[in-house]
Amino acid sequence: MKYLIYAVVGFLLIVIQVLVSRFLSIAGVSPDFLLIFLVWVTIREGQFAGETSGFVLGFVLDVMSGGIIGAQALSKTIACFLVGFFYNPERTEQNIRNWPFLLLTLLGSVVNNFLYYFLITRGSEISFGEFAFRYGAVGALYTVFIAIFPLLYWSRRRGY
Amino acid sequence: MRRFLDFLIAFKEYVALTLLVASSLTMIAVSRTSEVEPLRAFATGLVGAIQSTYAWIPNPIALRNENRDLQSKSIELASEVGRLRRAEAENIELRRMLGIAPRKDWKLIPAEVVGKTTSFQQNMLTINLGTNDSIMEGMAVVTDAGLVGRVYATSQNFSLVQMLFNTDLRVAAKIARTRVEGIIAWEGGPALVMRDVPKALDVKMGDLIVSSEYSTYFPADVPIGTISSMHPERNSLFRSVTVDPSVNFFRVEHVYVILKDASLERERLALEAKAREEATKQQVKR
Repeated sequence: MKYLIYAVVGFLLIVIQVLVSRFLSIAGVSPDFLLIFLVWVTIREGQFAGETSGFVLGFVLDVMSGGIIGAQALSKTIACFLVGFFYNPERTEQNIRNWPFLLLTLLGSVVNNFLYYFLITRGSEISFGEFAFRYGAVGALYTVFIAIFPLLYWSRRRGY
Repeated sequence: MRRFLDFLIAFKEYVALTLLVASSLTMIAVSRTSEVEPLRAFATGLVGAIQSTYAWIPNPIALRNENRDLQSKSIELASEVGRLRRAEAENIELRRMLGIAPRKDWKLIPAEVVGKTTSFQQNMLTINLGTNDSIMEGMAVVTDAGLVGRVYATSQNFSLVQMLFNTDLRVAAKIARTRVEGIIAWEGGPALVMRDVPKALDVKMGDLIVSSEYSTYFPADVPIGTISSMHPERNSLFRSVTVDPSVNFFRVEHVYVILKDASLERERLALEAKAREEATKQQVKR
């Protein structure tokens, strides 16, 4: 049941990502709502659940956004796998409601963006470094900024 | 067997990672094949249907900017119309005298932009026309200002349009004044780039770039943008040219799809030639 709820929430976030991102886009850079959720799932449920969710929801995002099918699936799987190394079942709540959540979102976002830009710039004359810095790094910071809002919500909700 | 299962369970994260990465790479490899098209068409229809439900919500900033652009454009166009009418009459007369067949007019279908995906550099538009309106993949999409992109995927009532600001799209283009040819691409910056333009050829700042006759997808002479800067490539006979696009992709609300006729024939010819070439190669192998 819990995983079904995760799937529904993930799907809703993909819809928001695809439909609403243009209103939040600054110079072509948009926050990655789905990644914030995937980091949350990984911190809560661990590496295996995180990477599997990353793959499934990344694939759905690929299909719905019209991008290269498999690119988001791959980048989100690996990002969640790396975030999963910081999974600690005894500190789950503290990690979600405090600054580690933002740090792990930054880590996941940087890995996700750099991998994704590597995939979409391969075989072309586009400079991966410049492209990844301009959009990957800035996009990661924008995603972390957006992640502050759910963090504030969770920390206040549970009386922190 | 038991030990193998224990091993799988003990290292399930790594086993899953290997399988998922392999699956992702396979999907990337088949991403552009025709087998994926039904899935893409379904997704286009679904996203388009959702987007069209809230497309009526006005975006005041975009509307104000579009209105301002249209006003200045209409003043510009009014003076141009008179000049073009005279030029057209002269052109028809000269073509008749030289025995050149008249150019075909484009058949335009107006469409409304119901959604935009401007994230992750695969910038796309969703328009409210699909296969029911005779829209097909590869058709050119324009505005009064110039080239927007091409139809990338279609469903019955919606189409996904790949904008020029998309790393996957390349357009054969030329400089309108001197007819110097090149390939226009987007490399992630605020403008488009035309690479490998010989230094010796006549190229000036402010020159208009239009689509070339060599383009398979786009009709010739559709404005793409103007040259804003030029950069010589080191130890090379070429330079790259930065092109400011004619269309503001982030403001575009209404577009026109150009129905293909002649260019479809060209595509078919190109495909037939390719098929013949492959058949010849196979015969040689045998």
